[in-house]
Amino acid sequence: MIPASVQILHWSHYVAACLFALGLFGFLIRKNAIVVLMCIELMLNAVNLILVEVSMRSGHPEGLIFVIFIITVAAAEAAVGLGIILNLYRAKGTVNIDAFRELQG
Amino acid sequence: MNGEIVQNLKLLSPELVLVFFLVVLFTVDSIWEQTRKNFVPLALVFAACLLGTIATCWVSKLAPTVFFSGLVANDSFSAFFRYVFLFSCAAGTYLAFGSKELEKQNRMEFSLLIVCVTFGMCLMAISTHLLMLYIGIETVSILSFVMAGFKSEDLRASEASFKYFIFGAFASALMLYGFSLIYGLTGSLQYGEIAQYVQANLGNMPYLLPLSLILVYSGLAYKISAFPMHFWTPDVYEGSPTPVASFFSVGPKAAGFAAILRFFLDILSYDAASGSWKAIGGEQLVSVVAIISAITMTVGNLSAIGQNSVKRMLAYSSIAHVGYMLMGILTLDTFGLGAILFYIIAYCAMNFGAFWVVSIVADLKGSDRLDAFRGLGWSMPVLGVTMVIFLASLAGIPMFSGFIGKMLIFGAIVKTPGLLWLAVLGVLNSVVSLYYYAKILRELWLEGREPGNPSELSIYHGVALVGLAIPTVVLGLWFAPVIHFVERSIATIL
Amino acid sequence: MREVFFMIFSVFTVLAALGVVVSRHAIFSAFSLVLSFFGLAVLYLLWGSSFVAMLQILIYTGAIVVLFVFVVMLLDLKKEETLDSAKTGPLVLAGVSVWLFSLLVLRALNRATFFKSTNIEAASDMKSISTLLFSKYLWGFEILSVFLLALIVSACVLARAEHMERKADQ
Repeated sequence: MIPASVQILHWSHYVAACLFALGLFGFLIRKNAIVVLMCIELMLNAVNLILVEVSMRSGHPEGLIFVIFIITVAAAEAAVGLGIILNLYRAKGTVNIDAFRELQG
Repeated sequence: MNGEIVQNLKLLSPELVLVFFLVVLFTVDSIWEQTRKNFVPLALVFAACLLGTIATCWVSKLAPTVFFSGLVANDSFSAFFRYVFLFSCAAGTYLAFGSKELEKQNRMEFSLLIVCVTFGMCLMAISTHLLMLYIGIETVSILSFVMAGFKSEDLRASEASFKYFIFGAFASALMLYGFSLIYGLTGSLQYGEIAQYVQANLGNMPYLLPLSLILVYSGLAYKISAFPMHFWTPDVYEGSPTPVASFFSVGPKAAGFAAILRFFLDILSYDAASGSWKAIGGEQLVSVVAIISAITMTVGNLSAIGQNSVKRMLAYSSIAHVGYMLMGILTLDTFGLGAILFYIIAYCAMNFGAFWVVSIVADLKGSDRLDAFRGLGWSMPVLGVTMVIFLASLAGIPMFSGFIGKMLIFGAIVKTPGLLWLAVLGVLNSVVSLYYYAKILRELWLEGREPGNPSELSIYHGVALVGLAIPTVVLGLWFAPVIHFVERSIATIL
Repeated sequence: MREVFFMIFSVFTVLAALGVVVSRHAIFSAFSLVLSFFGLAVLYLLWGSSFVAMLQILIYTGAIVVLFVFVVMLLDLKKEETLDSAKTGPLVLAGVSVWLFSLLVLRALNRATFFKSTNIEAASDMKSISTLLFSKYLWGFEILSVFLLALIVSACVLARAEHMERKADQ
């Protein structure tokens, strides 16, 4: 059922690294707060991919349970984050990170 | 099976007490609307903290165990941190209810959030499993984001909560990546099993393990605001309501230290015989931590000098204190690690006190700038004198608890070969910190001596200030039993 | 055959992720995110974990991205920022740091020897997952419920902010 072939094994880790790096890049350069949040979701998904892969390879469902928890917490985090962004948008009329400059020095 | 679960739940009674009061608060809030404005929630939080302390006392007497199939541990290390968290929860709520900044907000919601954050912090301290650590950290983080923006009509508070959120989500993503790499390397999520696997395969994991440890560290460094992840601290502390900021500067920080100590000491398997980390070249890791600690305290202290807002200054100074505390990890013995715990106790009282004074002044003058403190020592002597005690202790002047904490840590560092430079840097940093603490004291006592309009310090605040000043002084003079206590606490995880 | 599918959908996922990062409008980012999550779900299926694949589709695509799209549509984003408007300095800096990071990770991955299990059984079936979830991880599961209870309160706090603001408007 699970062919833990070496090629696939390494591919997963590299795909996850690519996803994580892309998320990191987006987190650093994007100015739209919502897109920044999406980039964080990408990083979390990279983590999920590794966990699924390792879990399926080793035969312990522990990694899959970790994935369930990550998904739950990510949903909560996205909800709270979007709530905060909405509040800021109401006050500022923009979601551009550069506009949030009340707290500088 | 059932008997086992009951037995295990007994060991979790401090957390269960918090959950019980969470439900009580939730119920009371929904059926009795008056409680949103009066002091019933404070009484409930105090009851939760008191019962939690009693429960902690009770479970700490039991033999140390790792239970729930290796998810959590009960030992005197967790007991120590539970005391700290329960104290900071009670003090934070007390401060919040006396502050004008949160006067208009729903107190019930605040109490619910702070009790749940305390619950999460307890989880961080007791977990011996990556999954539990993750849930604990996220419980603390996500609810903290909301607490930072609790004064929701204030734009600065919303912005603080946004900054806190963005960096928090980023840090937890980095940490999770580290977790997943560790899981991929060792095939386990439990600290003990990871340590066993790492010990057995020392040569096989040259780069990936240090890399994943660095990733995990950066997630935890965010919680304690240590060097690479410290930049959010001043903004968030400045923007969030002062009572919340004072809670952040104590509670989650101590929780971060608990998690770091347990994680790194367990996984890297401190070896008492040779006095070094066995797993990956002890020497390299020690120099990395030394550099992190040096940068953290220097950045904190140097940035604090130029600040005009006292709240921001204290935020930077709290970064510097994290730098001092990190030094203790380097020594890798009961003495140095116990010194961290001692420092946490001392820091808890003195930092809370200093933030408390800022909160009172901010309520009174509507500003936390340096000049708002002008002459307040003469018009409010209790506030002035206690602030002298807190700041002197923060600066590390003898006779106060901060001095003993620093002395223990520097003393431990001096004894460690090759780290004398760090101790010297630490002392130099303390001197720098003395300069900016003295700036506040000068405003308090030396400027504007005329007792313009004498303002009364309410008994509510006076009791708290004196209550925090007493341990700061007493710990500076009568510290031997406490040192004994912290060394016993740390000994259980070594 | 599996390897071919795996490669195709890996490339697909990464390209979609690239779309999230470089799209000019937040709504295109959200759609790319859906594609990326879909690709990941296929990868999970190829690994034999149909349960997580289902969760990925149901929760990530069905709930989280919908939330994102909802907020993007709710906010009237007229002046949309683009990648072009980003200053070159930070862009280069971010590029270099991400490049260094990936170099570090790739180097580490190339040299690493991963954990090899001795007993490989199917880990994916619902029964083994739920048995573990409700025995060993029961405590963690209960904590999640406490956490979600507090999240309800957080949502109230965040929503009340709007309410106050509306009162201020009147």
